Amino acid sequence: MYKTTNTGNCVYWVDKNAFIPFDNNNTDYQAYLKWLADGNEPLPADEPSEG
Amino acid sequence: MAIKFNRSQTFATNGTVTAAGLHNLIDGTDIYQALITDQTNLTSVGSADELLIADADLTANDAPRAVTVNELFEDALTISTYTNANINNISYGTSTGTRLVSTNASITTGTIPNLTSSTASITIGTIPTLTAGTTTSTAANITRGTVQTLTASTATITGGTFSGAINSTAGTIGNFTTTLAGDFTISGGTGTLGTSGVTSGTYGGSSSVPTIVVDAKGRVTTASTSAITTGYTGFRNRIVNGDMRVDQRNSGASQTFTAGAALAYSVDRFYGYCTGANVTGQRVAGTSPNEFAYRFTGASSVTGIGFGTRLEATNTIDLAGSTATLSVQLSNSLLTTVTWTAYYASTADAFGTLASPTRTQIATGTFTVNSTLTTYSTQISIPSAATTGLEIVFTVGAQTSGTWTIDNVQLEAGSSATDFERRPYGTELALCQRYYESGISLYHGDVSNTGTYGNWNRFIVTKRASPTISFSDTQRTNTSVGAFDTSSPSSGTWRATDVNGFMATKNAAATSGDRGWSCQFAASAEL
Repeated sequence: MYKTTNTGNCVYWVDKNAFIPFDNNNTDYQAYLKWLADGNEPLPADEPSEG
Repeated sequence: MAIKFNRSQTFATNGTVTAAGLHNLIDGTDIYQALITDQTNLTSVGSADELLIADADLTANDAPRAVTVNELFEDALTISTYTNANINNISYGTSTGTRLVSTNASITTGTIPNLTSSTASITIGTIPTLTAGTTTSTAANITRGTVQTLTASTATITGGTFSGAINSTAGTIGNFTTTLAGDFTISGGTGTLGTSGVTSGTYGGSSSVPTIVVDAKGRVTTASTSAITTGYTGFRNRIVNGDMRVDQRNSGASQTFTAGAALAYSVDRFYGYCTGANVTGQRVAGTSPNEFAYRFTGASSVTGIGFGTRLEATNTIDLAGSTATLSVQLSNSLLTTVTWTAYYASTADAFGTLASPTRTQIATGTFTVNSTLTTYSTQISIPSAATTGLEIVFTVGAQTSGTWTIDNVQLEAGSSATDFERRPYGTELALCQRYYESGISLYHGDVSNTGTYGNWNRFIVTKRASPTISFSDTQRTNTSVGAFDTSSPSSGTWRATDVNGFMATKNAAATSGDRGWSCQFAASAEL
């Protein structure tokens, strides 16, 4: 499962607690694009937290 | 036979014969002259013809003795030594059926056109036909026949059959045919070396070096060439972490591979997957001189295990259109077959997922393995289209128990498997960090009550692509700072990344004060 981010230059990979940059050479991003092409949609971004 | 008497001596009829008269008669008789002058020459002598011969023992009163030609011939060639003899057509026994020349004649010089003696000894001479016997001549010339034993030191033999030992030390044997044990044959006077199995030709040149195998006799039994690689002289192994030393993800801990799941990276640069049931894999101590190896432990219901690595196009593009050699050390305590398969990516560095691969198979094959770690190798013809990166995968079937060990994976240019290339650990780690790197991200300081704060975390090694950044809180050591936003990770705490590093930020709290974070990150740019 993926979740969008507020920065707009990456997607959050929920299962791995990881941020995937929008880089076509990144294989995780390639898998994300395939996931989108299969008709899936990411979750919305979290609300900003403070600390 | 007429005998001439001295007719000048006369006696009167009824006269007296005196002694003087008889003497005159005898003295005047020309017997010898008559015997000689009146003889008729014989044109041929038969074996039964007789001669009169005087024995040395005869006395004046004895008559001459008769001897046949054969008897004379036999008695003349007895056991003896003949020098400068010229004997033509000795065929004893044919005339009478019982005559023998000699069974132990010794002829030092001469010509014997046909010698059939079984024990004759010839030291110098020409023997056109020798059908039996021993020749010890130092310069014998035997043109045909059968020689049982030849001990001449300089004999010249142009034809014949030799049934015995040939001990000549410097002779010449023409048209000699014999069957020899071993690798050498002689036929028709021509000696031929047995072939060693190597194709005649020139091996090695300006772009390749020969690899030859020599047997105990000094013969080249195999010959091949290996291309002289340029640009990778010191880094001939295209596989990174082939000896499994670098394990940034697990540090030697066991890893569970989920059956049917996507491929999961384990030791650096290598991934694993399985079907049927989960299996565990782990970097383990290696067999000397290897420090480490990688080992899967089988489990019930497992139907297959895969272990592979993907090689970046920029590091393998030169192999396209050439032969490469894959070598690996393998052992398996249960199964005897390990399959290897080579692929190239459909597009540069894009091999797809395990479920949806985007790659083209180059070649596949099997290694028959056992429980002892052994090196196996195979040649792979890399097609010219394989400029997009290579992938090597090893697979086994139903590893329902036991263990499968892999080590020293090497892919190199050329058709020969060389020793595994051992690189310094720091070098190998840096090569791995192009694809995966872990570290600590830390920010600690006084933060105002508005806006965001953050830092730039530079990678130790520039990444292949902008990496995926994952965080964990396990490395937090300063309890005065918080974790890296595990509660809302997608809220903006991660700003940007590129191949050199990433930017991490947090939104400031409503009140200023001591703020920050500490967490472990991992940057993955794996293929």
